[in-house]
Amino acid sequence: MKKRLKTLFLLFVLTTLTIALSGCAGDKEDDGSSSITIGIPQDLDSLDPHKAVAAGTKEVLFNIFEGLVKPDSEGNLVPAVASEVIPSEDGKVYTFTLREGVLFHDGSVVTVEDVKYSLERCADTSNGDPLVPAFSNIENIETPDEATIIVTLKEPDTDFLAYMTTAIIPASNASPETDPIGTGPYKYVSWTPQEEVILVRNDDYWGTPAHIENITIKIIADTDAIITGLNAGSIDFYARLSSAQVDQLSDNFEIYEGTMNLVQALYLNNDEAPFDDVRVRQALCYAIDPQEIMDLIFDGKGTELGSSMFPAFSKYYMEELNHTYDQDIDKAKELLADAGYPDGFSFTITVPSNYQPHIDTAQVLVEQFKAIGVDAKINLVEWDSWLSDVYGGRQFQSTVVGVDASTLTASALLSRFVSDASNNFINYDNAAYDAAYARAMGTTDDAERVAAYKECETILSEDAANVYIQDLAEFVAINKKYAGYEFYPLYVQDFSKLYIVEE
Amino acid sequence: MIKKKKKNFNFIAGMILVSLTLILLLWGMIGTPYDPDTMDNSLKFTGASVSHFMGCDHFGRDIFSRVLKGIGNTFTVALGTVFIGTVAGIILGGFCGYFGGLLDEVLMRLNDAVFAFPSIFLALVVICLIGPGKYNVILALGIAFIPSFARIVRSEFMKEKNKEYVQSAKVMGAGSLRIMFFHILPNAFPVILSSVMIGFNNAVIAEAGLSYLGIGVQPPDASLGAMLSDAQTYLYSTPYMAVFPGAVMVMMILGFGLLATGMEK
Amino acid sequence: MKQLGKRGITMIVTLVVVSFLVFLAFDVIPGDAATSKLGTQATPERVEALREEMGLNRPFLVRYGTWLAGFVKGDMGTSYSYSRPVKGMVADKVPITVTLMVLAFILVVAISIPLGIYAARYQGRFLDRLIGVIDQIIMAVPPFFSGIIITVLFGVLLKWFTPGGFVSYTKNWGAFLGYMIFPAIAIALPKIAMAVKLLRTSILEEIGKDYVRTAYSRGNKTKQVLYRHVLKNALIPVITFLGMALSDMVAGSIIIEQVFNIPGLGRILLTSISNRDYPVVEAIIMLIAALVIIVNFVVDALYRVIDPRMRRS
Repeated sequence: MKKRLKTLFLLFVLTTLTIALSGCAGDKEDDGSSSITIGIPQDLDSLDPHKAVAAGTKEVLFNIFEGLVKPDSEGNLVPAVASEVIPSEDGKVYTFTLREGVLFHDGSVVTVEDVKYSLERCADTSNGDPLVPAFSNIENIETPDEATIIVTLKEPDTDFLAYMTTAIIPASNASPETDPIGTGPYKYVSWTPQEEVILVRNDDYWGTPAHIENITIKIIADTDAIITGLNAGSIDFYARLSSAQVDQLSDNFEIYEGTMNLVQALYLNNDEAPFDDVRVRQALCYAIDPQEIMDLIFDGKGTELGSSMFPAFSKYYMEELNHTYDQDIDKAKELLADAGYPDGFSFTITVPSNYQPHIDTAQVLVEQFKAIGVDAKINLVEWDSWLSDVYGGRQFQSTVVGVDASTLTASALLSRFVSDASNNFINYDNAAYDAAYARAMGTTDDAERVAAYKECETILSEDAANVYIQDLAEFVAINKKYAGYEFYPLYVQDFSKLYIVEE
Repeated sequence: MIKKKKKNFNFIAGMILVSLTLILLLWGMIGTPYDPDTMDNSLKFTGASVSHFMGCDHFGRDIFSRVLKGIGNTFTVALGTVFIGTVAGIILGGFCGYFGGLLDEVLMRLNDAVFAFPSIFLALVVICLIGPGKYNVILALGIAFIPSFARIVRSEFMKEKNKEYVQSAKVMGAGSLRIMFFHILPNAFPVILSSVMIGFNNAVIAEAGLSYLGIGVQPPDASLGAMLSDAQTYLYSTPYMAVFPGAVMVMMILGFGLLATGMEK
Repeated sequence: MKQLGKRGITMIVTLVVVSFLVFLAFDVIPGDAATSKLGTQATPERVEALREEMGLNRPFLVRYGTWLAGFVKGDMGTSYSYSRPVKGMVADKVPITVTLMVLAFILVVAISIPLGIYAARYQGRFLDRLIGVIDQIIMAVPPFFSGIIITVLFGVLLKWFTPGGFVSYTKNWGAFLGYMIFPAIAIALPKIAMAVKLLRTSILEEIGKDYVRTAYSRGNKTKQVLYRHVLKNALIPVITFLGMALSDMVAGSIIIEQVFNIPGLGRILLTSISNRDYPVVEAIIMLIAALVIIVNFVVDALYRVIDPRMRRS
């Protein structure tokens, strides 16, 4: 019954949203050739929505492709290519009704075959794991009539709907890699590697069409070139600025402040001495002061975190865990002495060199650890070396990075700490944690799941699995000629909501 | 007459600037007014004052102390780079220039092959291989600097080996190695010294380039190039962060450049 | 002719050595195209499957052999990260970087030669000294920083160009050239400074030689002597320098392209190194190496034309 209510609520959200948006559209009329230039920090890794993995690519493709459902700015999943979703009581069967008259960018109508094709493409295991790992849980996909898709799961998964944001692409498209065709508010025009991506408005969009007609997305690798570009007027919009960068901007910009929705921490290799000793890990937690880090690097902006959960998941977030370890130098020294390091020790913090805020954070950490006699050295590595050595090879002592959820599920944040998870790069191994997480996965009862998740978070915090720091503040700069930016609790940018402000 | 005077001017000006750099270097080695790494939120972006006469940076660290420390690191990197380049260059170029023949042909082709790489790319790959850090930067830049030194030394040795003093040393029964390192090398020394100083300056600039690409000395360690690279982020709001490391860098390079010009002949 | 043939062979050998070294480097550095492409979603199975698909799990020498065989036939392979033919990708970027080089080179020649001659003719005077000091200062500024200063000065303050407003040559040649002038200045500046200094020293040295004195004693006017005799000889070291400067500028463009946000060869080289996309890296390095070798060859040839004495040795 609860599920049914949830669906109804989703539909309600969708309708109100549509009304609100159409109201917006009525106020602002676009002239014939409205355009905007948007800057992004890294090149796309693929145009194929199922094969793209970089978050920076997905946030662009979000405007071209849609799933059966899509996230809204509140973090709800609203129907998109499907018009209605009915999950079964036991969370094993999901029935979707195809929205009528949704067109692909090439003009063809979306059929249930296209949907089946898209989902099966992502569930295919002939290349090892499926493209969407959660799809290994799919038992079968049926299309009993022209407008119904039924997905049956092997095991109940109440989070499954979040994966139904998987892009629907035409079965007839032979080359999705070079000729991306979706159903979203913008159509793909061209991509010049390292240069730009050009999109044009999809006038046949099933929902509220976008306001701005032409979008040029420029790839700008150098962070300082971004500031110059914004100030000089060659870029109108850039998301994910740091507070230091915002200070350099002229007053032609409207600045929006949000959070990046990731867990920034000093991730510790729990297998590696001395971090295999909980007392050492706790000592490090007592040694640091997240507020000082935020003050020094982010002008005090950001949200302190005490475990692997950020406030956007308000249902699961536990603010009280921020105080598990308030800075206490004496206590930290005591714990170190207990663990057999009365004179401290030295270790290496590996930091990917492509993101300055993490490097800056590591610099402050080094200073803070000095107070307890621990000597930390920073080792900057290229992102790809980080991926293969730290993330893949787990050859590291500690690293400062931000871990995000990538889907709208809180489980994405917690699943990696299960002892045998393939992405458990910190080698966390705790039987109590594994049991609590299994309990969360096994239940369809919401309250029970919340309790189990919270137990997981508490274990991570008390066991000092990592030295948790913060959810970074992020700033979006948009030229005052434009407005309409909305934050999403996910790593996406919704270009369709942007509009031109009348002079 | 005028010419002579001009050279002295270059030499003297160079000496003064280099001495100044060396004084700052020594100062940094003995001790800095503040700990160059200590952060203080209340001092963040504060401009020049009596206690911090170059102001403080984005972490509230004393810029003057960091400049002192930065000179030390920049100096170490440049000196180490030139050392590797010169020693390997003298051995490689010396043997090739003196003996010539097949050895020369093979080694010089290999030299050309390395020379054909953009030096930044070479350094980038070496750093990927051995990881970043001050000493690895020295190694990476040192390797990138070998070919140009080898070329200069080779041509000097080729020029000198036919001169009379070499012939007479041969007649007196001196061995090849002895001739190379005790007879030719001292005669080629002025040219090598001048290219060492120019190489030193190039190494300072190359280190700055690596810092800009994020693979120079590791933070929180300071080098002039890394400070300049950090400062550009704040160029619009706090330009003075770039001014001081920049000025010291110009002074250092100018000094060695003038000294090299002054000693030429 | 025999000389030319020999040159050709050494060039090919050098290129093969260079390509092998690049391949070797990519074999040793951590990570490969598969781990890079999968990013944080990599699982051992997926990485293995992708390696299989990309052909990365074949032995080192087999991969090198396949690549070399393709390259000789004019097939540069397919980019791992972009899934496009490398040839087209690189060919698109070549005009950008070449334009940058040519503009910078023209600036160096057009500014340094007159300035060098001027400084030598009026040596010791105020302007000569001023040029000397400015020269030294310019040489002391790292290129990335002079790039930033040019951006702020001409772009943000004077608004002569829009920083970051790169326009591709495929769209508008005029706007493209207008934008490229400024990065070209940034690349050219230190080379101009060095060339001026070199030319000035070299002219002064020549003037001191016997044959110049003889020419004077025959009653020739200063200007005639300067242009007819001195300059010809004084240019020899400058030509060597310009040759080396050209190869240096190719390397320098990697950084300047980053500062001015120009999507040229340097940019794609940097990205491809970090994506472990070795077909692209190989293609670009081969191109640069070939350019450097050819420039060296041209410089040698020019030598022989200017200085007949060199022909014998």
